Amino acid sequence: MRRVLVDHARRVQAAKRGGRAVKVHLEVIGEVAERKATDVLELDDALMALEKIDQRKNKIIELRYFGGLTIEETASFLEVSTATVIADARLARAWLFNQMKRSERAE
Amino acid sequence: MATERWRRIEEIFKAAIELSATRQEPFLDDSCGDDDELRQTVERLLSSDREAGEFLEEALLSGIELVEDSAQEGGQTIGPYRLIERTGSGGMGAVYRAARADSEYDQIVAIKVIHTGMGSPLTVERFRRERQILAGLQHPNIARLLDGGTTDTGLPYLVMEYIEGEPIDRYCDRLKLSLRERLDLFITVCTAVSSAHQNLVVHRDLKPSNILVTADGTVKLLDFGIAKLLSPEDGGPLSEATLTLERALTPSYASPEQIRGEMVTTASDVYSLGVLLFELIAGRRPFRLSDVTRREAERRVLEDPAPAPSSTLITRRSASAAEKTKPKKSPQVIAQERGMRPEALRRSLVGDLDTIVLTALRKDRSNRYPSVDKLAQDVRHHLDGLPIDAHPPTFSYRATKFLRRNWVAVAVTAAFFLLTSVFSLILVQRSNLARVEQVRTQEVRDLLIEIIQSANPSLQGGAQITHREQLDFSAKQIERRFSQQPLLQADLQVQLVDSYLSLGLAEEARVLIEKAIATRGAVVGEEDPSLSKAYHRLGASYRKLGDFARAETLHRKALKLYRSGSNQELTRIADVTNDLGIALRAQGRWEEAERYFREALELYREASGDQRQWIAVALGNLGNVLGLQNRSEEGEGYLREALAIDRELSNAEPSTAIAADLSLLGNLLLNKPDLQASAEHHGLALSIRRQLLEPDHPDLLESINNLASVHYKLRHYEEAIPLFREAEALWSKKPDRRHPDYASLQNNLGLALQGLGRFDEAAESLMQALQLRRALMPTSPDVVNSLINTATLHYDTGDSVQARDLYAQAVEVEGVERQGSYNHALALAGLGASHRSSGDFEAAVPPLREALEVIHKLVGDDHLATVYFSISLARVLSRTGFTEEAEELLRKAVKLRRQGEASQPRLGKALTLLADHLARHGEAEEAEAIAKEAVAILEASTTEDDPLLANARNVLGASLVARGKLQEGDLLIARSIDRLTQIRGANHPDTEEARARAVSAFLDRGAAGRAAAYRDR
Repeated sequence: MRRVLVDHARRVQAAKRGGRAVKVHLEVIGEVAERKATDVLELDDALMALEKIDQRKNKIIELRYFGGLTIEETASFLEVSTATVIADARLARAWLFNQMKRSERAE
Repeated sequence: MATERWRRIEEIFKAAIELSATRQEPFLDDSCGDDDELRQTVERLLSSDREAGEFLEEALLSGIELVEDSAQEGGQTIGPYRLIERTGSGGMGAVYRAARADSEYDQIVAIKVIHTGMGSPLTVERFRRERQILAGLQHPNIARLLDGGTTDTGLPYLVMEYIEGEPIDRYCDRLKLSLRERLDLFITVCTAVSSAHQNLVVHRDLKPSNILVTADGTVKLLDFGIAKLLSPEDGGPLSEATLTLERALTPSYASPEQIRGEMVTTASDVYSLGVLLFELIAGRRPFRLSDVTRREAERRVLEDPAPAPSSTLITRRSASAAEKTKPKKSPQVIAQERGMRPEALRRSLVGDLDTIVLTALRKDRSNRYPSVDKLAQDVRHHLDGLPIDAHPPTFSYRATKFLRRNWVAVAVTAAFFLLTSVFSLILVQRSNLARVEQVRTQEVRDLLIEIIQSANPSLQGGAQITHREQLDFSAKQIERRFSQQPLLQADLQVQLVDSYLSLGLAEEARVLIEKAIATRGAVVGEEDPSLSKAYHRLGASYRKLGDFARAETLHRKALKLYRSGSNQELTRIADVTNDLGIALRAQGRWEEAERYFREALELYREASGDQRQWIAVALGNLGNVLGLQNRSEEGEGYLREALAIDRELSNAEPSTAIAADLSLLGNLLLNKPDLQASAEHHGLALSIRRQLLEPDHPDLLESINNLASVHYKLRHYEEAIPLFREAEALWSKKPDRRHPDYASLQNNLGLALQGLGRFDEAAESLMQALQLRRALMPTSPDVVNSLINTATLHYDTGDSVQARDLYAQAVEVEGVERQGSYNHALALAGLGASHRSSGDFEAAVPPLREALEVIHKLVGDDHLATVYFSISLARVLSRTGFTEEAEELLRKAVKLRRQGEASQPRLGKALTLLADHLARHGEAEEAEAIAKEAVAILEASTTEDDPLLANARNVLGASLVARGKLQEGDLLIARSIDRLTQIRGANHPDTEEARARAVSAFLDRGAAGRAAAYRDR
């Protein structure tokens, strides 16, 4: 799922940057789409960074948010306690948010 | 970032978020110390934690919207279709209502843009191929696949017939459809699925939301085969993403094989349809999967047995907390939605519908319905009131697993099935009675299931239930459940009896069958033909209990009733005729038995159908009874004929019938001098039974015993004992060894051990046999046999006192029960001999006299046994002053043995006893001559190990001493006593008698020194 979204976002962004001539009403849609694509790609970058320092937390985010698993399901899938899933997800979320804020500042 | 550092950050972060803002500050001071960088990192994360909010969800949502927007982006058209509105977005993607843009008329279609599962290697080529197959699916109840392709942005899409409808479950409940209407609808669903299966398309994701019913009541199945398009190529590697996604699908309708990620077949659709049927009729799904973790949900689907739909409708008074928070529909509501009362609904599910659903829901796909058609057919049959197919598989499925080790259950269930299948016939025959009872085969089937389950150790907390317990359970259930239906109850009891009989539990069988006869007899009268089978079985019970006279009476009664019945079944008449023959044979009335066996044979030959199997049975019995009448040649002919038939029937493969024939032949061949042939036949029978029967099967045990017994007769004790011990070991695994056959086994084992001189072990086995036989039937002939065998062992080992007590008990029992029998004579003779051995000659005389009288009456004057008994009597008479009578008896015995068929050793023995008598009474010269002849005969006819020869030499020695030839006599006496000590032991009566003889001979000659030497030996 994550791959689908990310690949798709890349294609959208590439198309936009190509500066193709588009009709106005579609341009509006296009602008929104571009922002959405940015979000997805940034999140993807952040997740890849997270994976490098902590695989499990990366996995938890994937399962919870992309896979649609509940906390309990994620816990049983990874064979950890639900408390661990909750605390890990919270740290991962804070870390990702911080990461994306940082990339925002960098731009 | 260093792992060590990350761990530290994690630790502090997780601890800090548990604290209130005011307490975080001092905590961070404390834990970060002067590491400012650490502190900054943690603080940044903590503030991000506060700000992050739903940012992840938002980012994700934007991604999904992005995909969906793109679908419209291609100019709000996809291919030639103009998108009208988004009607939904499922797990797989978004669904749009659309119209064909280039069409003159507005053909409304549904377009599904697929944006999940893309992580799997889905190739354009494969997508195209699958689409073609799906496009070929044309069925009025399947939403057609019209078109498909890839959007400009590369997402695959499918164009389908647009269906305006409602999921089948909601449709049924909203319109409060009756059970019948729901089943009709379900059959329509099955027809559609089946048609797809014939096109080799499996749905893979059947669930109510994919099965719509339109306003005019037409069923339409959506998304056929789409799940397959999304799954990785069969056999291809599964990416982790796909696995995660597939696992994310709800397991509610997924079959166990789908959950395990195995290949999906039409059987998986059968399973999903089973869940659907469950839900449509019972308002619930088989497994409670909400509120549990995915792992637990999967475990339930994979492992928990599905409950019967009817069982989920039982109201539970106390709802658990979980159930309260998420209330389920009550049975009342569910029943109301079907226009019924809860109990009525439950009742209509019990039986056929439960069975149908459970058959579809089996874990192992090979045990489900072989096709959707078969499932639909059973539902239709149920609606039409016809028998459904699912029962036999239900039986065999549940049964085979444990019944392979469980032959009684096989017997019980087979009997029940016989009953249920013939039950409709009985209903027709006695429709008036049947109506009174309102008997339903269903109830019998329920009971059957319950009984089978009772024997399943896993349902009994793991405890192994014995055959006996299972039968007792069945008997109790029958008594309890059918108390209002006495006729059915009685019929079931009769069915159960065969199982008790096959376990050797004749007494239990008798009690049960008498109950059944009383119950049924009270309704239909005791002479009703419908009781014939019951009388037949009661007779069989008495036969097994050893009461052959009563068995005979009952078999005759059964025969009479069978013949008086309107429905004269030749085979049943033949069966009971055959059994009557068996009862007569057991009473030694061989000619009569022969007549009935011949009659049974004729009846089987007359009966229609292939009766060869039974003809062989009758031939076997006939051959057997002829053998018993010493007509071995004739008997062998019949037995060989039976064997030939049974070999033909089994195509020369080993069969239990062949083993039975071989076994009977083995017994018949015991009459022939060459026992080796008998041993061979018993050996063959045994090897077949070893191959075909469970190790604790009575026939196998019997075969082991037979072969061992022939070895015993051949005096091959070393070969007999291991076989007996093997049988003993097999018996020891049985929960209940209180069986006549086990007693026989111990008896035979004891005799074989005795033959090898292993007296202590022999005594143990013989005593065990005796005690068991006493417990089973205190006055049976077997008890007396055991008493005599045990007494003889004690006698032979020199324990005259024990021997005397046991013989006395045997005399007591036999003298009352069967006065004048051969055993009576034997017991009397034994009692006399024990008195004699303990030196009490006076006491020995009366029993020995009586023994001779009895045996004389039984077999006449010149019979070997009569001679033997007169010799025994003469031996004590010779010592108690009845000199002339003793001498007369002994001379007569010698004379008879000289001219009769007696063996040379026996003649030698008679001569020895006569010589001894003469020597004691001053006839030393004749004594010496006769003793010399005895020794010569015995030297020629027996071995040096034979105590008879030693005895004869001892007597000759004493005669020589009496004649004054002291040295010659002394030498013979010394050697004979040494030999006897060696063979019999120092304390054996023979040895002691030989010593006493020497002492008195030397004393008579005044040789006190020699006498003292022998006395002190």
